[in-house]
Amino acid sequence: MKEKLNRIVENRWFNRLLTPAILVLVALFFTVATGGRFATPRNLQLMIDQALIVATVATGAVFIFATGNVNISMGAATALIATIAAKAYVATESIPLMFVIAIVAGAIVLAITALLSTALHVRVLYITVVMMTLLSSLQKGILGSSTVSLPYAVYSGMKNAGLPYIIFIAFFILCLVMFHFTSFGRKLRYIGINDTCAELTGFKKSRYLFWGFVVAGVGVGLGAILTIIRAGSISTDTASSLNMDCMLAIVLGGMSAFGGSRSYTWSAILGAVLVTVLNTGLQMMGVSSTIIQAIRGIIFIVLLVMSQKRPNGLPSRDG
Amino acid sequence: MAANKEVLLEVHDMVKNFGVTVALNHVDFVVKRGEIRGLIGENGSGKSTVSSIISGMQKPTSGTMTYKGQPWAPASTLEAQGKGICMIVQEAGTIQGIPVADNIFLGHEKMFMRGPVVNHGKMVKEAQSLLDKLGIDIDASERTERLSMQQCKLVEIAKGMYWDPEIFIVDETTTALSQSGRTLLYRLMHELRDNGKAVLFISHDLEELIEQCDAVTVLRDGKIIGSLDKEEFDPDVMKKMMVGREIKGGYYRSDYDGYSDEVVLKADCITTRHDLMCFDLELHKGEILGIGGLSECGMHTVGKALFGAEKILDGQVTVGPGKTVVKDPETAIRNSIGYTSKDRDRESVGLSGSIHENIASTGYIVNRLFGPIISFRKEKKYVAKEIRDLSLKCASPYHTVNTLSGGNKQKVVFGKWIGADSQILILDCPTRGIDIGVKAAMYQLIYKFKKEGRSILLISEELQELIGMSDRILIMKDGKVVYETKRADNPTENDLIEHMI
Repeated sequence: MKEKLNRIVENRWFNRLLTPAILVLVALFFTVATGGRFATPRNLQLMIDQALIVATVATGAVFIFATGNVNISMGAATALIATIAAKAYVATESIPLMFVIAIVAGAIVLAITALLSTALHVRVLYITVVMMTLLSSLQKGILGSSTVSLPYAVYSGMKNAGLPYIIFIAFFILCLVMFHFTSFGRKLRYIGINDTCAELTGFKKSRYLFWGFVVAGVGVGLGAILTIIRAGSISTDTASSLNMDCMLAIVLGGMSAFGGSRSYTWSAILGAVLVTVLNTGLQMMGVSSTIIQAIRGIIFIVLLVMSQKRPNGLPSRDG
Repeated sequence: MAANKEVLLEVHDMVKNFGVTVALNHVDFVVKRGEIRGLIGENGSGKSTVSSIISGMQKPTSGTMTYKGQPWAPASTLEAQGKGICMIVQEAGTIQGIPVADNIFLGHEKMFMRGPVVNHGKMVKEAQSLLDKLGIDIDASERTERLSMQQCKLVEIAKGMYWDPEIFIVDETTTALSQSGRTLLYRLMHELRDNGKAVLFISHDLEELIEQCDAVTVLRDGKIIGSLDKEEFDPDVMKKMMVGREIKGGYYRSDYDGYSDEVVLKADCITTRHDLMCFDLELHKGEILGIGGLSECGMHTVGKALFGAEKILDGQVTVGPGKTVVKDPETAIRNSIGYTSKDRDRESVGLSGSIHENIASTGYIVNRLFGPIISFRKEKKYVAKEIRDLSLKCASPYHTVNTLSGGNKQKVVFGKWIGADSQILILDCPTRGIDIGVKAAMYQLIYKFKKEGRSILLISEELQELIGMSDRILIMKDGKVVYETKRADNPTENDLIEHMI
């Protein structure tokens, strides 16, 4: 019996189908618990808008997490890029330029993170701790005490044209292909499995880390655009919980928190939807936002423990 | 004289297995008061294993020990230390970043507790007086990372001596010591013996053993081969006892086929940060070139340097007829070089990855469908072929490598490089920790590679393996090739050991 259970758990498909199953159950639960309010078209639309942002940034972040590294500055980076892009639009009134600036700036900010880590031989996590503070104070510096807003016609026009969907789907398909159908994703995963061995198999860690971060940077840039389209204005509160949402999404989506073998781009979508459903559902049930934060923290820790198979010892990628 | 010595420690019928590897095979031996007993044997013969069990570092699989007439089963090195058995280990046994005094009293900080705080001043003072008493010129308040390797070893010796040991185990320590350090250690060892204590001395240096020991016990493949008293000491007899095992027929290759004159891999006066100084080497097409020596002779660095995984400060490694310079593993692999590290689990294979992921990692280019897109079908075939050809035992290619045995893990590594069709294979201890059956398969495989015209650099700590497989053998010592011999000359182990030690 136990052996049978083990075999099911170890099956590749078990992991892939677990999250969708949980998602359906959680959504059903909230629908019942809120007396149907959860499933109203308006609420679903709101959740989709929010989930798209998380999914976009998280999809890019998969390219970092796969290598066994953690970036905690993605939220701060998104807020900064959104501020810069919005300011750029206000100054030039050119939508294409806003796009270009957001994508390029996003790629540059994350590329710098990767370069700092490899040049200084400091682990990515520590660099991103610094980057998180740095980027967010930079954003506050640029923004001051004001907010920057786009004209209603502009952002609602983009929204009504379905631009968020187009942006996300295009980016996701690109990432899906790169990650699962080319050597790039396999190399990133192999670095996550054992970076020394990857290096001795000819995969230069510094180079692939750099390009992984660039992809994540493009995700951050597009996430910033989606943030602008959704809200129309940027303040210092923008994207404040985005980073935690992304990290939670990646592990909730069935990916290992330590990267390596169990790294999938689709974790980002599944996880993003699940995180948004949880956030919104709990809110609608009247749970206070501080308690929601605590619940998210607990879920994250539990998933972290679950993603390391080793029975004892500190978290490790060798599990 | 030997008869009236009191028995201090008795090891009885001890067995230690590491997985399928038998490190100790029913070992019995006795340590008596007032003697310095040498333990000798090849790498992996079980010397360090038996001494680490005595000193409480690990537990035996079965067997018993008696110490001072009482059953002896230490739970930790601290317990052993307290009861008078101290061991100086082969590897670094000091922790960097803390003062010398803290290293000496590591785990015994309680002795200096005053209420909840450690009286560090008192600890330093006590450590200093110990160092002074032993005649070791080190400041006890100095931070350990500022010390040289020799000084670190001396700190360890002091740490052991503080406990006034009844049995002092010195495991391969002298290689880290210069003449002055050795003289000091010898003096301490003799003092202990003269005071009726016992010393267990492990060394590869026969001369040293003959000079310092009162008796030696010889181990081979986890078994006691015999013991010699001082009067019976003879380097030739000792060497023969250490290595003289019989070769089973068909285990190694038996032919005398030659190899081509074409040089495929060449090291031209390469200097690395450690170990190598203007080192030259030529590997020919179809050649099995063996490199042997003691573990720290620099041969492992040679393998890494030839693969571009070790920073080369001067000189260069070139590969192929085009003389491409190998600067990093990437260039090496592009030029059809494969490398298996001695430290397999850390450097050659991704343990948490699946067999599929590991083997496929060298085939991303050949398994493409079009452009950069990888064909899943081709990849699956690529992996399946290696699993079949190497008769790798696994339930599914999607199982993780850490579920496999050592031999099958090594097959995964081999599969990576054979799949990549590497023409030059640098194999660093390819049969380390592998049981006999898989070993024989590995040797057949290596011979098959040779017949296919591939070139193999076989770096090994096992002389039998080198003699049995190589077309040419280089023996290294202190980063230099000190001896070269050809298969046609039928070298013996004694010839090689002569130059190693």
